[in-house]
Amino acid sequence: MKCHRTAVLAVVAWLLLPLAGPAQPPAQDNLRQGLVALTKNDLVHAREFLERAVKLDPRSAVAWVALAQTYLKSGQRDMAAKAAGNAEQFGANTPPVQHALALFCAGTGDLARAAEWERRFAATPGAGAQAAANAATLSLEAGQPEEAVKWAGTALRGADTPGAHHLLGKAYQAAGRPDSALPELRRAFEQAPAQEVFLSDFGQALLEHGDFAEALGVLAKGHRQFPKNAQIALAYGVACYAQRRAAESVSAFLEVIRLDPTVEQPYVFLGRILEHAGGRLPEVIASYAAWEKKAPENYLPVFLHAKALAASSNRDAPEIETKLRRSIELNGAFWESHLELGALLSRHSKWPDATRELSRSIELNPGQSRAHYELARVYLRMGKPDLARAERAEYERLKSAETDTGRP
Amino acid sequence: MRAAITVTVGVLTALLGPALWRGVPAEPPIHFVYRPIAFTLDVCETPERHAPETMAGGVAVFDYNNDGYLDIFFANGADIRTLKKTSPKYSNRLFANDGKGHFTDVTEKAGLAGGGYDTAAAVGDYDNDGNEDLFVGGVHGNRLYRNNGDGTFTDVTKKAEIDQPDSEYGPLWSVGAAWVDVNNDGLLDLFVVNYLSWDIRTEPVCPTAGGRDYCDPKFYKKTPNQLFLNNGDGTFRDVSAESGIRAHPGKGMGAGIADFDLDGWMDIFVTNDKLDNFLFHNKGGGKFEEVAFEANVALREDAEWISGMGLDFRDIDNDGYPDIVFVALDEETFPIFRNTGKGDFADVTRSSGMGALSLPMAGYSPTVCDFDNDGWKDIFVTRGHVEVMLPVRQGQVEQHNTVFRNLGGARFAALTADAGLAAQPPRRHRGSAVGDLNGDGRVDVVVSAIGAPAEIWMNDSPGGNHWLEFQLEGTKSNRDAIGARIKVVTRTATQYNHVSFSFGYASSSAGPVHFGLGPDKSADTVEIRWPSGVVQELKNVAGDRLVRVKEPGPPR
Repeated sequence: MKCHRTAVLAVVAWLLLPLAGPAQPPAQDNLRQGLVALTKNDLVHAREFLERAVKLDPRSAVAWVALAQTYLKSGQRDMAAKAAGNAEQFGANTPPVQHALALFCAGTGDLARAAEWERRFAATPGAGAQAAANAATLSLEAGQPEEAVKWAGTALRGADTPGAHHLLGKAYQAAGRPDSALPELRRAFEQAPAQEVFLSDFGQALLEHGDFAEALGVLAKGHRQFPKNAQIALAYGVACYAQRRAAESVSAFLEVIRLDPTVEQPYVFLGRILEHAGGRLPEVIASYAAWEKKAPENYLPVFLHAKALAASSNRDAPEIETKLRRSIELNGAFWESHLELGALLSRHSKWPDATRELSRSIELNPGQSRAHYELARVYLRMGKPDLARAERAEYERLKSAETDTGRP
Repeated sequence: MRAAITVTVGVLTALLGPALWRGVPAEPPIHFVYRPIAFTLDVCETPERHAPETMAGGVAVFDYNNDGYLDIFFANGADIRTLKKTSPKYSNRLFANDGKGHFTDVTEKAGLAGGGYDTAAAVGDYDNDGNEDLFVGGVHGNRLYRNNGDGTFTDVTKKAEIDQPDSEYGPLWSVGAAWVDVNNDGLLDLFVVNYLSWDIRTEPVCPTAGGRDYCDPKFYKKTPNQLFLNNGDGTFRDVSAESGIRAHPGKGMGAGIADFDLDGWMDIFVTNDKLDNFLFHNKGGGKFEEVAFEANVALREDAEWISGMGLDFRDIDNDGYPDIVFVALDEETFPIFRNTGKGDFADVTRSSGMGALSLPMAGYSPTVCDFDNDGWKDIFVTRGHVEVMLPVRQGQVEQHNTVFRNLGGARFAALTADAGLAAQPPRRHRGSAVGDLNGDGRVDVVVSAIGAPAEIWMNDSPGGNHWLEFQLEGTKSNRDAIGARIKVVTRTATQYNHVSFSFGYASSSAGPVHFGLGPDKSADTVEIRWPSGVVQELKNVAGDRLVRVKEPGPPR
């Protein structure tokens, strides 16, 4: 929202321009003073002047839109909407009002309308590359990627800047066109390699594109350049893993947790590569323990903590079973907790309990193969060969489906 | 002044001596030195990356001329388009050992140059004449060479009838074989491991950055393994279907033989590439049931399909029950299944330390043998990746070999550079065979590598541990005594092994059975359980020598 506030001040200043100069009629004078007060965030006086202005000139779209902003900032959303409606009625075709309405709508959270107003503004002759960029940005935020591509392209044609390439790249990404996105994000990065966000987005685009070697190079550089950027550290960890540099991947994820312990992804990623943690496993366990302590009602930390403990030494320690049960207590719909508990109970020869947990895991996620395999083993040991055979057949079917991708 | 300096140096030595001493790295307990041999594995590698090109490299170590020295055979590739050895560079090679570390190429004289795209080698005296014969498996063609006993071999494939295309699956691609007497009739039968259904005309294309790479096995169909029963007259009968073997098609990469449940019948374990493994339990009389799932060896503990490669099926924890060790690619670990003695196995990959050690490694051929003669069997693994253009550092395609030292009770430590195995560049190593090539009581290793010179790793491990080797000769049992179980009891330990020439990937090691005795100079007792059922006991057997033992009782 910070950018919106900056933009509001800019547009207010812009609206003020025609009012500068010699003495104005009363309506315009009130409008000018109202806008000045709004610029200073003096909402009481802004409202006083602007209400007076619209009373004196009820067809002043500029006054209405400024009043709408004032009401909105004062938390009077209904009155704001009404004022904006009046602004639209009297100034729908006035470019500054279109732009101001775009900002107003963005402030209300109606991004689709905001994008629409901004595009109308950007379409007016002489609106410039920045207006097109704003239209693209708002379209992107409104979930209208094709419009974003169109207007980002217009912005780029108007001014070939790293920002414009970046915007077009992001628009292509949103439109599901990664092959078109990558060159644009590359240009942005190449033109402004010190820009943190350009580097981060380019590195991630490379990852998504499967260019792991180049991604690793870019993100490694970024990780050195911006060591406090958790996003880059996270992407760097993923790139390391993709390049089979698992130990570095573990280090990177631990670093992300240190930078921002509230981000969930590094915990989850670590949970998938525990076997690579090696000598750093105690740190991983400690990070899960800390997360579990901070979020005692979240099933995921306690589950991952149990998994990490199981990877450490005694995979059958009573603490692990307790934690898995606690995870299920917190979220009974998470299939992995049931699977891990079922496998553990199976190792302890607690066949009926294992059967229950594994069956529940399958119920929650019928498409995962391992639970069928574990269940088949349990049935076999329970002397139920037919059930075992059926589960094993299902395992085989799922496993084949997982790996059978047809011709290369 | 001179005296003062001497004193100072003396004081420094006294102060730093222990620290300096501690700083000197301990002598590695297992160590090898490289010896070259004039063979380069030529697989006719093409930019199209046809699957057989990366799956070659069988090695055999056996005494082909009965001079008491172990000789070396290498299987070699061929023109991939014609599957024919169109150039001498594709010739299989036999090297005679003079016992002093010199190897002479005797291929031509022996008549073992071969003709097809050969992958696997399996040694066994199928006609019980005292001369080791040789089966060579390959792509769409296998050959059986009978040893004439005069340094030459005769191709008896046609007579033996072991090379017929499958009526349903067509021509097969053999990557391994094991000689084993499945019905205890005193004749070695032949189990052939077949990989997948391959045809150059329908080869899938797997593009990767910078070209094409070898495809995942999922793009090829399964094929069945084969069992040929020895008729005793130089011919064999294909009993794949009636034995129960053919009912389980897979993508076999290796076979190990052992009587895992000690019921007197030899069982067969087969690793499959990205499929469940097979454990063919011999029910007697050559009838098998596939029990891998029931015995807990179908998959790793996490139920993932991995790239099962070569294997060895031997007792690694000295409890008398054969365990299973096999290797796979990086991120997959080298699994170890410990025989519980109750008819099934436990996955001890992680608890043995092997999981973490092998995680970044890609392996092809594991051979289980006591390389430091400490009484615990170690594992030598040839390493190298299947693919050639992984999206990773090149160092992960070409790798050094590694020996995993058994620290006792199947806990392992990995030795690579420390064991001298980084003395040669990393390569795409493939097959391997073991045997004491120079008679010094330490087991050496022969390794093949794609497009690179083969390697002989002479074992020069330090320490004064003692050893014993047994060369068994069956009379009622098969002459090679394959399947015989040997129990050696010394003052400090009891250990077990059995006669099996099936080690590793596509390879065969037909030397005597080796035991490290640690500090013990002799064995108090040696018990041999022959496949015929005869039990023989030797007492007070002096160590550091090869003991030849003939099966007692009337001949077959």
